[in-house]
Amino acid sequence: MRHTFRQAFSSGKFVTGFVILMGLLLLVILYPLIFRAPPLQIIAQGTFFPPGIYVSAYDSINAPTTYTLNLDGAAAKRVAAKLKDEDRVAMKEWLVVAGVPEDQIDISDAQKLLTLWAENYDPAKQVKGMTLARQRYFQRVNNAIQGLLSTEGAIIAVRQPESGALQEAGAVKQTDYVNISEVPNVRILPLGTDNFGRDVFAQLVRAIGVSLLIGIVAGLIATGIGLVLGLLAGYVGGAVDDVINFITNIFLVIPSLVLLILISFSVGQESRGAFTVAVVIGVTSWVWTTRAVRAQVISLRNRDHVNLSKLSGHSLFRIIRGDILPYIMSYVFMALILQISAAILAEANLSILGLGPRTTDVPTLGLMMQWAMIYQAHILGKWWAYFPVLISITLITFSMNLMITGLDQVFNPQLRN
Amino acid sequence: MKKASFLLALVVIASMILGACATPAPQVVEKVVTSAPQVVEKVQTQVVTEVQTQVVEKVVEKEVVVTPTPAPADENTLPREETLYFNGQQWSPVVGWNPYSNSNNNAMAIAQQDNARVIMFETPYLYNMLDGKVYPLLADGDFAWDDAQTQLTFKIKPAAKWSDGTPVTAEDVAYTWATHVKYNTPTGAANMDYIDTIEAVDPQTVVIKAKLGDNGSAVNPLLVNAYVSSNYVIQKAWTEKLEERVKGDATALLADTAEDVVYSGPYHKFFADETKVIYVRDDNYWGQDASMWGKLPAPKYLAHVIYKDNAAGSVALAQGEVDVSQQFNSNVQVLWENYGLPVSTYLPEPPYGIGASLPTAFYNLKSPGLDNPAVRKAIAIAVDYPTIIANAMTNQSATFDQVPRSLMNPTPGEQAMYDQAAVADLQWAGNDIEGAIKLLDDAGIKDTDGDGWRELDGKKLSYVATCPNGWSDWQAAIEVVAAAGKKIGIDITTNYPEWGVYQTVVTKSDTDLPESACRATGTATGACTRTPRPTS
Repeated sequence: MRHTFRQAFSSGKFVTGFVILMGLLLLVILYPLIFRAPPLQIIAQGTFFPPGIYVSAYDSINAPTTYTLNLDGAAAKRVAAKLKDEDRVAMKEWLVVAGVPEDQIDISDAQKLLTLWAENYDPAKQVKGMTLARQRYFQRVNNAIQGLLSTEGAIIAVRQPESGALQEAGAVKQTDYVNISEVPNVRILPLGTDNFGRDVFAQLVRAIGVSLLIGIVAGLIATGIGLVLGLLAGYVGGAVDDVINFITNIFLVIPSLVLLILISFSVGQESRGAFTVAVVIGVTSWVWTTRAVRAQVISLRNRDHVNLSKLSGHSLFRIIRGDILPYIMSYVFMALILQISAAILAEANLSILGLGPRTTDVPTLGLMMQWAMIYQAHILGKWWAYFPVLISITLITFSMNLMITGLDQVFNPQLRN
Repeated sequence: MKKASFLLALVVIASMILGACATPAPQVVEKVVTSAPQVVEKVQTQVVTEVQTQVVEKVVEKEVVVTPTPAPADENTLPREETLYFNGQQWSPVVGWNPYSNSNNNAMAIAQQDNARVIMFETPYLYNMLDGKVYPLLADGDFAWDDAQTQLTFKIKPAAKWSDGTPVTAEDVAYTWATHVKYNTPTGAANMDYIDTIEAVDPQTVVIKAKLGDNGSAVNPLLVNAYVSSNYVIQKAWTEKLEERVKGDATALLADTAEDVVYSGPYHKFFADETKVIYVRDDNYWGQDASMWGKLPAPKYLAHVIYKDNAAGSVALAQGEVDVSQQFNSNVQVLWENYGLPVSTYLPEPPYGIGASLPTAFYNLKSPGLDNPAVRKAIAIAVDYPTIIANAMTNQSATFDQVPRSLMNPTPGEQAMYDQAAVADLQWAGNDIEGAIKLLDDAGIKDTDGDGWRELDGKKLSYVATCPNGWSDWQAAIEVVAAAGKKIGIDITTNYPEWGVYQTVVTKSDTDLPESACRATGTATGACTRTPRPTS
């Protein structure tokens, strides 16, 4: 046994796959211990906040100390953030239409451009041939650049509770900075939020855990059923073999996805938790394991050591356990890993079709994909809602397949070097 | 010879490469997103009619530039310049063209009640929800009540004609009502308690006599008002033909697909299958008379493409395949802010449009537990409405600060007539988990067996909330409702059947919380008249 392990870990592919899988497992176990935020809590009011560090604006203004930093180019950056190059080009277009001679417009000089704009722009002006969408664009640009070149700070005012009048409570200069560690409310959203306003990373970590669990439960069930039926069919033979083979063949002909969809649908969503989904996947994907095990057992059945055991009067159970199982264990183990990775994919498939567990119950990789798709994250370019999920699914199945390939080289004499 | 063919081959290859490299000419297609009624976009509303007429007028200006080409009459090669592509009202194939029935599934052509759409059939008046007034369509001038408010009189425009060229008369209006009553159609059943008779005094003049209560005044004159702006006038001659065909059988009358129907509106059926429905303009439309619009609507064809879901519709909009999108386009501002597409909405800022009615969860009062007001109110006050608005509707719905929720539409015209202060203590802002828990505890509805869900009379409070699959904003909204249920110990499962199935499910009322067009209020659902109520 130890020898087998050593052999397995001498295979580079197996080790790589194993390390990736263990890495994911560690993440799943450790992350919730460090960050205790419930993954399904709706924290954001709005959809698809981009990844980043969120600093409370209120707390920043009220930070205990503000620091003055005189940094070069701070003003230029401020302007560039609101007045992009394409905006300048568009503003020039508008000014030309408004009758400003083209050679007087210098779009590289923000100061001059903004002055010209302020003098000439009229939001109500109807330009012939300009669509409403374009008109709106200019209105937005106009709003964005208001007060852009101001060097004054901003006044913070509070409303008097009695009179409702504004009273100056402080001022923020353009050179004021706060140290982020002094701001009490900072939330890191490594992968932003999803369409429900939930932390994608926290969800992803939990979902990987759930998917692995679904994979393991489904894999164990499928392999278990496959192994038992395969052993019986192969070793007992005769009528038992015929019956089991008959059933297996029927299941082989029906595409398992169709079966999966039908069963999930008829189970109904009320009782469709992660565990139920795992069971449903398990009972629909045992077929190939049965076949392969049966074939292997048939070839083992008439070996000398099996015949010797029979002559010694050993029971059916003992023969299978002592004389047959050890020979096919390596195959069964590899089949198990394959089943696990297939089950994770199957869950993703089901959830994308809306047949997975309930959204409010538990996050799964498939559900995250489903909602990202429903809210058109892929169309709107909100990559953080679906791409990390894809990567996770890929990493899980990739690591497992890598382990299989490594194990294959260890167990299969023809591939052994 | 060989050399020549070699050269030829080179030329062909070169042209292929060049052709492939050529930048495609940017497609300049005017796109107008009417996400006006977006909160409820699938609930067809009056504002749509308004927006449609606006759009139509808008394109008229364009028409001057465009030289109309003789139309090739093939549903797959509609001339782009003469076709207005629309989406968002039709999510499965059209069933029929029968204005007496309300199971035609033909949202663009046949939508009666408040949200009457008049591209094919016309109502005497048009209701404008922005100012709450009605404007004459088939009718000539305003209608008039007598002094006792027991009968309403209006005239039919002399210019109004049917598609077969015969004039629209008061007799048609009267016969339409008589038929509704005789065959007990949904329209008839809904108005029978308020309208006594509709009579034609002369070919132009219609008199509607209201049903009178015990005190001698009309039971509800406002519903008589509503009748003239929400119900089509149907031709008497065609109706008689239909009656003859169905031999007086009410079920058959309602089930008739009426492919031969006579209409008075500017468009009629050109083509319909499971992928699209196309309406073609009737160039003899009476409305081009100076007494009405004075001209024809510009698009020769109205093509409504049937998409699988909102996502598919949004892609089509971004690609320029849809001119007017009346569906929920999540985060629609991304289309212009990030992609610079020539797409605009009715309002430039959130909520980007005018909510024409409010999404509402209807409770099935026959469901065990939901007949208890405490349970209904607990769910209603626990729901996090700001999250529904900001996340599920991506801010495309007025906030509670902008328009406090009531059963009135959030339009200025209707809100002006509504006394918000008088109902302030009946309203809630939602997200009141403690309040909901207390309410349930006080009502004695507690979790007695420790499974995390409350029981009433020994039965676990477990419900199904449903809305059609692909209506993403509603799907997310009821997920938020389900999350609220979880917090207060009421098990709510979401379920998204296909649209056709949904219609049946809601009609049969075996679902507990079908999401439809009014907000979850603990009070009577019957008050929500501006919603497509399921047919019964």
